[in-house]
Amino acid sequence: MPNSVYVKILPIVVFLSIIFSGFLLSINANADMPEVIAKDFSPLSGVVVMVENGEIIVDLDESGGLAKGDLLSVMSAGEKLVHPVTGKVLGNLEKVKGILKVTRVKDGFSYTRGLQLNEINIGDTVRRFEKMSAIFWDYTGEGKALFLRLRDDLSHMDWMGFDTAQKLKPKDPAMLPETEMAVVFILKDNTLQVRDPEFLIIREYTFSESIVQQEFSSYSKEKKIVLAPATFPVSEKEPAQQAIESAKPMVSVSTVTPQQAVVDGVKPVFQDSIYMDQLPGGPVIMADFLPDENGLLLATTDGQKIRIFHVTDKILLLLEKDSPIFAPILSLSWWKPHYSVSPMLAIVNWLDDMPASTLFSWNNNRLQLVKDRIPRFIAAFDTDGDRMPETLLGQEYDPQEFFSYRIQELKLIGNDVEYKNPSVKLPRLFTVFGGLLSDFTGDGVAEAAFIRNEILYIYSGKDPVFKSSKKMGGSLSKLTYKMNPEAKHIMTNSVSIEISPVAVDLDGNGISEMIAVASDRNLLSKTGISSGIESTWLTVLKYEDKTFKEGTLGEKMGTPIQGMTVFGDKIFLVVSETGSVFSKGGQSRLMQLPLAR
Amino acid sequence: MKKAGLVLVVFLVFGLVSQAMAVDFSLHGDMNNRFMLYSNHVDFLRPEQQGTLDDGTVDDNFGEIKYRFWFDATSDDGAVKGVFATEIGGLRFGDADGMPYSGDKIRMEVRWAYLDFQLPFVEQKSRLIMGLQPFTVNEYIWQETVGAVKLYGDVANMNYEAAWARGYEVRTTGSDDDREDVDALFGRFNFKPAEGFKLGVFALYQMSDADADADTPAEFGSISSRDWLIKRFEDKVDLDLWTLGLDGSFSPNPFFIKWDLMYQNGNIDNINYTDSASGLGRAGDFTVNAYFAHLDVGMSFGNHKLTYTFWYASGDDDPLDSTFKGFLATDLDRTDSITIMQGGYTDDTYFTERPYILDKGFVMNKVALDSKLTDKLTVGGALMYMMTAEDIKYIDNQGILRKNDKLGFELNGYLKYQLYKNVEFAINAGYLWADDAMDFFEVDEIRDGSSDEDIFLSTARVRYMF
Repeated sequence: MPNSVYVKILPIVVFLSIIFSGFLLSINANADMPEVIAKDFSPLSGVVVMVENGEIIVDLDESGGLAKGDLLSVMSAGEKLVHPVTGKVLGNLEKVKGILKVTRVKDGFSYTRGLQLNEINIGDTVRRFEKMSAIFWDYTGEGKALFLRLRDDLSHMDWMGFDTAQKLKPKDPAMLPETEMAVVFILKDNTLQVRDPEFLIIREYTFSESIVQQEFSSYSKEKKIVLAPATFPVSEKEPAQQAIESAKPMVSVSTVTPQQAVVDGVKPVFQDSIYMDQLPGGPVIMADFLPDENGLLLATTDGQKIRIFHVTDKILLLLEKDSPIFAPILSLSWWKPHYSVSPMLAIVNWLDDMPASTLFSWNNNRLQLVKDRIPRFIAAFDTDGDRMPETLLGQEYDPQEFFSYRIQELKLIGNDVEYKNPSVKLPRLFTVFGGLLSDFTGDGVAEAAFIRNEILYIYSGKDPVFKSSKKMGGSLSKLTYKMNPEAKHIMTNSVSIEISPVAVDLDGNGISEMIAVASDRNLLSKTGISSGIESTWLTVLKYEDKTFKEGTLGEKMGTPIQGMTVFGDKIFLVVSETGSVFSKGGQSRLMQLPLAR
Repeated sequence: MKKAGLVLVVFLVFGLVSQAMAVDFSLHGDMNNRFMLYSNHVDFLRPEQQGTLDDGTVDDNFGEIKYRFWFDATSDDGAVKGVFATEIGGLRFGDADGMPYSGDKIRMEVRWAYLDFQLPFVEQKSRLIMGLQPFTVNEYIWQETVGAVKLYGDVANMNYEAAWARGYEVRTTGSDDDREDVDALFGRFNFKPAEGFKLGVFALYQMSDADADADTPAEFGSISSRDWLIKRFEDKVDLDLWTLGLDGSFSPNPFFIKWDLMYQNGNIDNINYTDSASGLGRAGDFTVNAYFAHLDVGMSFGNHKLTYTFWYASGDDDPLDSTFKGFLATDLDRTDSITIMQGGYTDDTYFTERPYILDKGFVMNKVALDSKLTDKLTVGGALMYMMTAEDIKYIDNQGILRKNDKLGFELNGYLKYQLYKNVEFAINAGYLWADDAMDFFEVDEIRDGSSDEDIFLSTARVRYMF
């Protein structure tokens, strides 16, 4: 074929390609958002097939559209509906006897845990979002049309009236007594956020401002509502691929450069930070949070005493208790096994050159001893991403390396502890202190992240996928221990007990980012005499383009961070000011940072 | 100003090296200030069982230091670790050879110098450690520093150790010099059959050749029962000795049990041996047939711990026969008794570090109570009754043959208080109501078949470890 022919055909091919791409784009750009939402919340039906270790397995999976975080109503046959004249049984009035939350989706079945559940039987029917209370809060003043459309499309949910819901609406979205049994749809700043009864995000949808104003407000005119074309500046994907991804819930993410915020649209506003009350006692060396019905439970230790607080917009001291044994406390963490109604508190002491851990049950504002002198370092992990640490791992002590590679999962059988192999593959270097198990890559499998020797490692199974520079962690909980206590010539070593990073979906794309503490330390930290922390900050890791991108969140602080969680739209930090190396002194505060999205 | 500049330079170097080599440096220290508060018989507190008991008190008090500093150079992932440790002391305050006026004579020693690394291409823990290192076979036979190469690691629910150690090096001088070094080969497997249950099996083979002519007893090395420790044999004997052991622990909360069993068999040849007590002995070849058994049984209740300890080290009953039945340790530091062993905090001033007396073995019966009264204060006490396994036979100052095995009752007490984090003050005291077997160690004037001198010792220390 002569070259002149190529010259003539090429522009046509390019032109057709552009048209075809535009067509593909328009298909997705014109996707009907309420239809997307209706599909996400459609009433899938299944049955309970097994109850195992407190987890309830149902026969629904991803192929039907089920996703992690979805809620399932457990149905029971209610009163028979009998015709008053003919006496014929017309059917049964179905009732909801409980709610399950999907924690893991497998091929052919899914794991759930009970949210509100008194009894469950194999064979019980479950239906997604069936008869669940739904509340719509409109923070835009333009959302009534969307509410009406959703109410029509999701008629299997029990919707609170629009005006009633707006009267109930708090100034900023927050958990209320009325939302404890409801799914809450929150329209704010071009984002529709759907939260479950624990006020955790189930889904999030973003659309352009123009679409909200034009399309939603004209719903009554039966105009189509379309999802905005995707804007994903971080990515350099092809337009067609972007268009396909635009069908997924997302928020905009800014370009990332090293040492800048990874999630630029989501950052703590330090100038708006609120120092809540000073925490009593000496400087907190370890703190852990647990979401509860209407706030957070906060457990702290200064190495000698345990204190438990309830945190809402105020801090309420619920309990102060001495260490269970006369030995320094290294760490504490909340544990909420599926099979236990009450949360538990795991305390790790260092006694006679060995770890000695204690489990308490937290009931009626009291700590009741469940098991003591467990010869492991123990800490609880949230492996299913529901923000509740349901898995307790125990790590053996190794005099040479301090943290042995031998790690078991602990289960309570009565008041005895049973050890078994952990269900998650853990790398040899993993440490239960400063550790986190969560899916950061979106492949449905939890990665193992941990801070050891000032380095943050992330492993996928046994394979390393990320290693930070030597700046991570920075804890006041330090131990100088005897490696050979029986010997005349004693060798010592020092180890930092780091606080764990947290996993949180900052950008609402359904995949968690990681927030971890980092710090600058001086030469004293090399001696173990003191932590040597000069400044601390929050590092954020986001998985994107098959790699972890690292940035910072907020500004540097002069005080060590000894506890951290994200709850609602806030980061809570326990920060500690210390006295001199050998004196007591120092204090701690709870710091609350609004996450500006 | 000069000091400030030095600190800055050191910091920068550390920083640069850390960046470039991904190596983490850490500095550790053990600054141990010890005080002999009082002893009525410092004449007895002479190491290697060389002490004697004079007629009347031989009292003393002193202060001394033993400081140790070491640094680790460790790779980020802990795969490679190098350790170098220096030590000064124990140096007594005012000691002309150590810490006199102006303190110019302080000597620096090397305590440890070794490299420890994970074997490449091995996923499980499997490390090689070589150099001057802390070395433990079992705490009742060998637990000290020695030059060695050791492989250690984990396989499944088991860990292992395999080592070659050389405690004494012979530098051969010519083609006729067939002396061999004092070498040791050691292997151990530790199992964990159940939670709280540990079981160890080990074997130790020790060998040396003094190159003495078997037909020429004059060439034999001389060893007395006061030297009944392999470390003190140096290159004087032909050694071919096996030790097989079983140790472990079981801890069904709140109880705990710990045990050690060892059996020794082999030969010690071309030796001129003398029983220090009776003065009897023979020259020639000996077989070794000895054993050791130890048991701790106890329970923890609240912040208290009650422990009963028993051990039996076999002893030799006949210095004239060709069998050594006395259990033979290599190099260790037992601190179970304050007056007889190294339980005092001035631990360079002691009678013995061995778990037995002479070659006569030992029987220990000890009850100890340890209590943590506060998070900073620990107190404890122990009562023990000690004997030798075989009689100490000796001729008293009247020319009468005596046979005694009772060493006496000892009462120990201690208090430890944490002044600051990692800074500890401790004081202890021990009193031995000496029984008749101690008569052998008394000077001739009072070696009359019955013990005349009780022993009291009180020490203290202020120790900072980081």
